[in-house]
Amino acid sequence: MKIVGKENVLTDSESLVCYSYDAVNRKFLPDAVVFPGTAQEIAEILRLANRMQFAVIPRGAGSGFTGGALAILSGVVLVTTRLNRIVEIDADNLTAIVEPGVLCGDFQNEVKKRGLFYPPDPSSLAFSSLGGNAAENAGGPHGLKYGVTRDYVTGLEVVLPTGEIITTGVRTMKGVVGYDITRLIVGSEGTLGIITKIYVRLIPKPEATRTLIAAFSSIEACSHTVSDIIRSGIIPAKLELIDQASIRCVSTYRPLNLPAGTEAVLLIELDGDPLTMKKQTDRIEELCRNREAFYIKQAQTDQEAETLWQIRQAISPALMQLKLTKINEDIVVPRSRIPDLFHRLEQIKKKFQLPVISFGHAGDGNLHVNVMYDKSRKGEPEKAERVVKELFQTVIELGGTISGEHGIGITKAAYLGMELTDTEIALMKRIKRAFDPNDILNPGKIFYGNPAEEY
Amino acid sequence: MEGKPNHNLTIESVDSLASEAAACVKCGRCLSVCPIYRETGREPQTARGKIALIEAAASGSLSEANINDILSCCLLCGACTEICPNMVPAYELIRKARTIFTSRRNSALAYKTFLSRILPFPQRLDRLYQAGKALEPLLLKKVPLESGLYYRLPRGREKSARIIPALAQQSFLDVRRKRSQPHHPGALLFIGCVANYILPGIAEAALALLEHLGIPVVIPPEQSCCGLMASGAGEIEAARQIARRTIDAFAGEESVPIVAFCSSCSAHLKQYPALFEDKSSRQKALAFSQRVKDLSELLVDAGLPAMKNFQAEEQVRFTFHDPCHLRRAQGIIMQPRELLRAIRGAEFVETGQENLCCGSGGSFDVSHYDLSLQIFRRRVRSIEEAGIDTVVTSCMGCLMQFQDGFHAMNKQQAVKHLAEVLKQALVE
Repeated sequence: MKIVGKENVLTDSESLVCYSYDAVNRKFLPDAVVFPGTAQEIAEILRLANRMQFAVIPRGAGSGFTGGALAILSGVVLVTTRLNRIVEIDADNLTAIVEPGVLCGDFQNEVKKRGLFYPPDPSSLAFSSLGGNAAENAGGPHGLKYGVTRDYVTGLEVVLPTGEIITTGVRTMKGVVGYDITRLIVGSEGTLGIITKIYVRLIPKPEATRTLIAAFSSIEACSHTVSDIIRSGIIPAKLELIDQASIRCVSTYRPLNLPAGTEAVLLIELDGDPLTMKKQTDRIEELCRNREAFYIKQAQTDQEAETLWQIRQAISPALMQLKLTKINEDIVVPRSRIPDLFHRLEQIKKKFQLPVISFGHAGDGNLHVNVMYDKSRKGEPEKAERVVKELFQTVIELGGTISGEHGIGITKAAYLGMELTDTEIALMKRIKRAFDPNDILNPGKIFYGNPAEEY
Repeated sequence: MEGKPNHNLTIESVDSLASEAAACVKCGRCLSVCPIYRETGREPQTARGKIALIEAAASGSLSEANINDILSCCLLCGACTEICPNMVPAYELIRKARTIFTSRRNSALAYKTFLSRILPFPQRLDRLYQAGKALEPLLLKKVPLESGLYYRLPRGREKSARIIPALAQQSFLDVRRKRSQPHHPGALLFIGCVANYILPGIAEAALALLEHLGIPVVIPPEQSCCGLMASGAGEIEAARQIARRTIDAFAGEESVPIVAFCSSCSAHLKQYPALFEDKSSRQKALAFSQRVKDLSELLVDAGLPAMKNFQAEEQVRFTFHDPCHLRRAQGIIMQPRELLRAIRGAEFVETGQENLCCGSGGSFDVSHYDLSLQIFRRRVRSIEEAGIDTVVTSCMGCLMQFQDGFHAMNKQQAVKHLAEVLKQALVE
């Protein structure tokens, strides 16, 4: 590969194996891996791909949950880790320019040093890249109060699948010139262009934060409290719900010191100025007690707050102890329908007799629902699939969406038609063709079902 | 594809590794702490990449040579293992995979010969040492010897500007052999290669500290290398032989603690049981390893900080660099700090980046010198930002990495071993 130099291309099978997976943990061997150093090099690679008809699959850190970085139809994996400069942090205009390989957590720390705040916080932030975050429109607990990646990206430099380099959007707070290509590309899962620069807006860092935990004797009471808090006009920075099955999993290897009879827990973080926060915490405690929360505790130190949030972070891996295969969905319902969702989940669990474990960003209606099954037991994988289908039907009936922050990729592609009409899907495919007439960039994703072939 | 599948290899062994590896769900969390990945952004260097490779190797047709290259690019620092949400033992898997895939490695033949034929036998090591002394003016000035001993010699391809510590005039154990030893020891001291042949002053300092506490110390004369280098390189048989010799050398005083002042040695001595599969060897190793203590651990247990008799000669600002083999492998974090904080007239400072590896990683600093130095630079930035004059550490690998790295970067900071610093500050 003359374009990027010999040292930036991998073709040996052993290295390719290391680029055959992402966080979906399925494996598709690419033909080559390239590490371009500039937008121009990426443009050249894409022009070559159009001439020679090979697929190009953009990859950041490979931490996505829907297979966006998988080379399902072979081709060249294009890794953005070399584009890792924070070009500029402008404290006067509260903006920054970053390259796609910068890690989300590193960027947050850099802006924090200047008294600024970049709120999107996917739980992978310590290793996921901003390019990947933008391509997947990543969310996180902060979504409730501060929105998701999309809400902070004001413009992009993008290499189109046909090899032209364009700049979208603005570097100002407002801008309405032409179609909003920025929003189209953010969340397009690497199918419409390769992001080479991201223009983001920042906000001032909140003065202080405060964390509290509340334990409930039923999931109904807990989920109604979520609706109560939102209705009361208080918007916490984070509002996370943890169900009894999750609590049980975590407590097997980490003492939680929760009272017996805890069926569900709310973890709440407020931020802002201390006086307002005091009033808000009092009000939230009152709302919790109205729903018969029998245990409410405020973290007194940063250390205590950290310990509480570790409970939340420990859930996803703790589920692995069940030694079951996990289908991790990230559905969203209107916040007022959270109690209905839990009611329906109970019915689904009873009907199919499979463990369904839920936790997540209840405050914005976004829940991680995990369907657990034993791959080796006959009929269980099919049963799990039926659970997922019924879950999605429920979510759509409740006015929700089947993915809040992970995207479609390959894992949810088979269900796309449950939420979108044929006309809508056809329009999206026409957009894809307009960008990428030869179907070079990340082919086979979003619209084409779940591929079976692995090596 | 070059190379062929290894037929000497029992399929079960790769398969059993692959089944241990199955708990890895490829979430990518290990990427956030891998010192090598943080510099290069290359997936094969991560635990996740290596685990995928182990899984793929179980199913067949990959090149041994390439697998070895990828497996060799790891510091065995254990950061991935510490952070893994599923508690996948990546450190162990990579070490074991090296054992399996190294069996047909034909590069670095001399290195392998050294590990398996010479290292386990102190007399042969001594003879080589004598030869090395004679050749030193010619040979050692040009050969990268920075962080280890002769097992780092015959590798040919590394030509670098490493500074090379001169060999001591006489090995520490040779000097001590001529002296009488106490009859009722309170501790048995393990010396290790670097102190024995290159930096005997550190062994003297450790000895002085123990004697200051009134502990009668015996230095078993038949001891040699701990075997960490052999184990890390996947030379499992050599590592076992060395372990057996060490266990024998320290036999006979069953209730007396064994103290090692190099934290990589103490970590490896504690891990001896994992080297053996048969029950009786394992139990013997367990009885041995349960007696092992890192020097910092023993000094704190024996109440040295409370004696309050340390005074710094000059006002210095120092920090403790945690060796991965102390912090992660042994979970010892507070003891060295407690000791250093007991020194009056010196200022102990944390850099806030205590989990960073120095980049030495056994023989990694020889096989991947540039990368090793790049990882070192990140650690140095944290040290400079904290305004440190002296870095204190307790692993010979880290110590020599800092010596060479500071030199290569033209820095004025010093590096010292914990035992040296304490000994110098001791008020008699």
